[in-house]
Amino acid sequence: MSVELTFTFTEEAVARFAELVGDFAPVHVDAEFAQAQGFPGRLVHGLFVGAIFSGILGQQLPGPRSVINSLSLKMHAPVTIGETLSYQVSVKQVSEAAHAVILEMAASNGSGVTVCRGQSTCSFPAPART
Amino acid sequence: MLDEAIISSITPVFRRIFEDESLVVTRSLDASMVPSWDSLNHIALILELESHAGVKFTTDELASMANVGDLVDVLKGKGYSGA
Repeated sequence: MSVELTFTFTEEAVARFAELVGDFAPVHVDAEFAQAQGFPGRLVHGLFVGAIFSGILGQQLPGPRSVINSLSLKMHAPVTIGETLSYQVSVKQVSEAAHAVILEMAASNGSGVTVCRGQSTCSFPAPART
Repeated sequence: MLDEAIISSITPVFRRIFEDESLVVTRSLDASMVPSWDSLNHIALILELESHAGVKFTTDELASMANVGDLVDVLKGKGYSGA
């Protein structure tokens, strides 16, 4: 089982993320600086790239009744503002006894290059008894 | 001998999950004896053990396990030998 989603990192979205987390590092906000570092343009925050997985995990797979127990991500290529990424989350392992799943996550750019890859364990807490 | 083989096989799993390379796994080991054996690591341990041993636990089996000895007995019952 797997789900896919695309997301475009617009100028506005990146600016809102920078404001939200307080990360105005020059590689994100200064085009000349980013290019001097060898990048084609300003970079999207790595954690913003990863944050899109939160929406997939929480809304689609494994879904709204799950919580994230752990999550690991490795960045493989830079993402510049304006890029659209294709996200994929797939089930690697299910434990009915532990009420938990292990998911594999990946995102690729328009050239088909995987820009980040990771894994998450999510569980399904039992409702609190009243 | 079978118990020893199984415990020897699953010891690296326990050490990895609980991040303690000196952890000694015995039949009497239980959650109260390992500070990092919390509910989230318990889930991680079950997932890792199922993958490592190639077995699936049932909810009843999980509920019946009070210590490593119980776990070893369940694994033996599923035909796992530690090999």
